Amino acid sequence: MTESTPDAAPSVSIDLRLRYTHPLGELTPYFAGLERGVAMGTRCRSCRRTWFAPRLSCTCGAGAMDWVALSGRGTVVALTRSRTTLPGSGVTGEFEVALIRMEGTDNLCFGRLGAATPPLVRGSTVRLVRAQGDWAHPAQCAQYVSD
Amino acid sequence: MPDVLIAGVGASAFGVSRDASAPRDWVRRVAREALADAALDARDIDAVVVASESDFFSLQLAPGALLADEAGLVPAAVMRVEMGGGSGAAAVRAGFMHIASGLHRRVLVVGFEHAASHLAGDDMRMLYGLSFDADVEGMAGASAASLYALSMAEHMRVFGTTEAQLAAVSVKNHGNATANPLAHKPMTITAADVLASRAVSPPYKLLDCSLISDGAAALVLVAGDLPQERARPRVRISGSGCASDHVRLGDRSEPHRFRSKERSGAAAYAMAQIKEPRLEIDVAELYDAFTGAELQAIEALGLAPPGGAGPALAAGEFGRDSRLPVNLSGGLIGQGGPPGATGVMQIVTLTRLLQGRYWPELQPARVLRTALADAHGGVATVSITHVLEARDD
Repeated sequence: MTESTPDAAPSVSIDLRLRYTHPLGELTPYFAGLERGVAMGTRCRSCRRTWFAPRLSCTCGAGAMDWVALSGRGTVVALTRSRTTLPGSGVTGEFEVALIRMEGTDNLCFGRLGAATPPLVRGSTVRLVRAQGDWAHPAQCAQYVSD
Repeated sequence: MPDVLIAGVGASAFGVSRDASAPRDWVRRVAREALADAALDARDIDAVVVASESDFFSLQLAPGALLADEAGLVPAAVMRVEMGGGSGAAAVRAGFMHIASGLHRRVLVVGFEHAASHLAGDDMRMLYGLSFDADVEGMAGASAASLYALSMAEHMRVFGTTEAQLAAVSVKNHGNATANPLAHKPMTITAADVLASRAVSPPYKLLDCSLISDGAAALVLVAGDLPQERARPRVRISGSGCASDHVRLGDRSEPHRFRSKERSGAAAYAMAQIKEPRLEIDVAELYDAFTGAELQAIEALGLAPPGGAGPALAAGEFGRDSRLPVNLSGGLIGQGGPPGATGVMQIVTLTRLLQGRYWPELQPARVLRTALADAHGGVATVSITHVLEARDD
């Protein structure tokens, strides 16, 4: 920094563990669906646009939304690969992730892709499944595999 | 509305703090530097705005009051501002609003972050993944790098932007940083070096990514009718804009487009009466979280047409000797990025440039009149834009 600190104490190492009781609120049907490998979206009663990941208020400004079950199938629009940690699950690694347009929706969802041969590319068709594992958060259950 | 002038500036080096100093030390030092630069005393300050992105990084909840006390600013009013990577810029805007509203007359804006040397890299990546939509995307494995990469992948598909054009941003910004003694990552590199660096999140490679840094920066803002130091040009904030976009990229009709920045830029330009930004802006500091984000920002702010920033930058526009240099400091890629300090440091840099007292190798020979600063939180989810103007009166 701008000045030295000649009498500074050495740094200390602090290991904190935090435990949250974390509510999922009105998105609970979405997360409950992911735990079953089912895509639950929302549809605006006013403009009829359908959202997955679901929105609880539509971009048209209307507030009333209905839950709808989707086919769970979609198309990869963009993809990349990145190192990350799945919070609370103790899983750190390289994950292939994508923006996916699910059938019957008007937006794109973010999702973790499963391994595939040949590799998934833009335009690949995928379906939502429940990933095997002991997950800390239901969002971590969601995986999109080659359809 | 009174003019809002930048009376004094101060900044620490950005980097990885290795001397066991702490954020309270950095803030105290930059606050003193800014006050001295403004020829003011701590008792002259009637309000303080403190910016930092996350208490997870600093391990200090409610840092505003503590840091104001550390800087000797009690009993001034204190506000802490957070807007992700745009926290510092949001604090500048809050300070601007304090004075423009008439509520306060002399405001210290200080931003800091203890982001490089405090937590391990994987912990930082995990926390950053929670700064978008934590439940829906962060918990599912989103990271800052992956979301920016997905946005850029779409930009490349729509406009044909190339990895070589991204590399040109890295070469420029790392190179500019070599003449900035406060920079975290000065490097003289070639596009081939960038293209050969390891993949982080394709299309982004290591040298396409900005740096998470430790550091602090401060400004003293004053009402324009107060007596001023006259030995150098006065710098006023002539425009301030802020706008938002949907948090999730997939909820945006065009994920490659920084629409919040288009809107915040338009608002700042309207306030500053800028009609042709490409012709009227002399120098800019933009938020280059990744190389492609600089191109997206240049386009959103009207400094190049959509899809035009990559070819223009690769051809030398926006370079150190160009008509409109972008990120002479090195930006986040070369100078570094302590999120709470970044937006404040942009104003420090531009103030010094407009007053002709920036680092000698980076100070253009011509007189600079109008400058542009822009930062954002999220993947341009909330953008904050400022226009600065030098005055000789």
